[in-house]
Amino acid sequence: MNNWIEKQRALIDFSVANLGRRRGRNLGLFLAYTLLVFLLASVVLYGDALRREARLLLADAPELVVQRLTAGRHDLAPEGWLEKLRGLRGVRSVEGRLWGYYFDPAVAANYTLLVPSEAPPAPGQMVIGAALARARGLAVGDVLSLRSFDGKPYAFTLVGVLDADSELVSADLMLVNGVDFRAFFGVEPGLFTDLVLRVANPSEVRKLAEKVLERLPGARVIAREEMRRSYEAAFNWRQGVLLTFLSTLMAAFALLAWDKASGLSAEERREIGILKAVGWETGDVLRMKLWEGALVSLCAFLAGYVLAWLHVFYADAPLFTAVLKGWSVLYPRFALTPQVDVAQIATLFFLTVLPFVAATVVPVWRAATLDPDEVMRE
Amino acid sequence: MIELLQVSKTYNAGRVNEFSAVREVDLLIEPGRATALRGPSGSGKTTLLGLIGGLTRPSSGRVRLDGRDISALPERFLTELRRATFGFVFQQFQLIRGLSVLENVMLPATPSGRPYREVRARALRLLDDLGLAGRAEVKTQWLSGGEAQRVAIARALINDPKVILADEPTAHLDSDLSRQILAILADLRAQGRTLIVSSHDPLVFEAGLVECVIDMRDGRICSAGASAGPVMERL
Repeated sequence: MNNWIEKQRALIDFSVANLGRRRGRNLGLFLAYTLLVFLLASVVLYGDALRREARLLLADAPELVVQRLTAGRHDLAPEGWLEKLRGLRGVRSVEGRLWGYYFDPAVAANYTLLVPSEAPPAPGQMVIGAALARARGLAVGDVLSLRSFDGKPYAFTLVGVLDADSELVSADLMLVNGVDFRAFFGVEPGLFTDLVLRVANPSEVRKLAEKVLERLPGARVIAREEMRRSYEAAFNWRQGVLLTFLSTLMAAFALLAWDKASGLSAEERREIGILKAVGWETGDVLRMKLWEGALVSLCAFLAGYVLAWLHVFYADAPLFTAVLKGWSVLYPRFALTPQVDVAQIATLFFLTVLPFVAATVVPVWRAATLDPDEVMRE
Repeated sequence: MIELLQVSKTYNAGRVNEFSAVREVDLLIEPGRATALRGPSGSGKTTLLGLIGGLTRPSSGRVRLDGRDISALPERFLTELRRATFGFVFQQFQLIRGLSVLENVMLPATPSGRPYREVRARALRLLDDLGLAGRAEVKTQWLSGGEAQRVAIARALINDPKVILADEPTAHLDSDLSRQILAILADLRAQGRTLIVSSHDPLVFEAGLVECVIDMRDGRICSAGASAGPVMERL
């Protein structure tokens, strides 16, 4: 065992000395490698963090949303539906929600106006999302005038800005009173945008959804799980688009790595011949090259991953914001929660380190299987 | 004892550039003696050294070391044997550029698994013995020809081999440096090591170092000195 350790130590010593001999080449390779890992890891870390954030936010969402459909389109739901649904067994609570969209030509952005079920602002007052406050340059105490459904100006006094922690979903949000909402959009009393159901037993959600449809044949029922899947699909799609673009970079790197790592110069072939002539086995030469490849790729992997981590969790991923968060006028600003995912690190590792090590070893193996007497005959 | 029985070596067999470097050589080299292979360029001296030292395998025939056939050994065993038994001094020094003198000398011991400190101490001692004590950390590309050859000798000795194989050890040196190197080889011979030198440099043969001369031409042995009796009998 000691013998084996001494041998590996000697091989690592030689590998380090060998890397130092071709400093420029190996540094270039290290930088290209680090860049590739940085980009890939940034996309993966950011995509995963967004999905995790969306999951956390949806954890508090109601299990079922019921919407009224007219001619296949979303329509306002009558108050009477609340009573029909309250009678269902397994329903813990039913509420009518009021929300709608407003296009603001001043900043060419869409806002979401919502009447919160708990502690809504007083009539004439409004609480807005942080991104919206930034976009309009608003602060608490300001008055915001918007054009109502009939073209008349409607003034709101800003009394609060929402916490940045919820910015992923609250970036464009305006919280208003129910009276203001109805007056602003012209929604008659007794009508709601949709209804939300909270269920006592989560395993009964599917059954309950069927019962809702039996009672309200013209309704559409959306389960929280479906919303979660929609978010996942959206982020997966965006991540996929980005990875597709990055695949060209990966291909370029593969070519570079292959060229740099595998293109054995006459000098390198001569050196392998010397090593074999002085008593190195083919396996020793391969082990030495494996150590060399492993040292470059592991260091680059570590550096790339740490840089990606800092880029995503501390610098808010400026390189990928537009693609991964979605194209929008109002970009949410929120702190993603750093989390270590072993499977994710392993996937990145196998995608980047193993191909490089293979690219290093294959040509060396070819050279190392030659007779060492070529050195004698030079 | 090293024995070669009907040893031939053909390169690129079956191709248009087929070339026989050594043809049906019988040879017996006794341990602890200095033997020289002499002959013009292309006579097969270097290939014969390679065959003796297990750097290459014969196309036909047998190479025996102390009665054991080494020509058919698997690579791993042959390499181990080569590392432990033979020390090579190559014609062009064959040092690795960019590495220090000390790193070059320690190279043959790297795969042996011997403790680093022990190998390093031996390498420094050898460099000291060869007058290179202050040059251990110098990169080999900055060495003079004489220094490079002495480093190559130190490297050949790091595993304390019984047999030293030196291919044209004075080929790139002036007369003074050649004499220095020959004196070092004579010391090795005096330590009881077997010395096999290939050369066509008259200085090597005039130095009184060589006890047996084997003349080669066109891959064959054409005459052998006094100690090559068994060879002559087979011839």
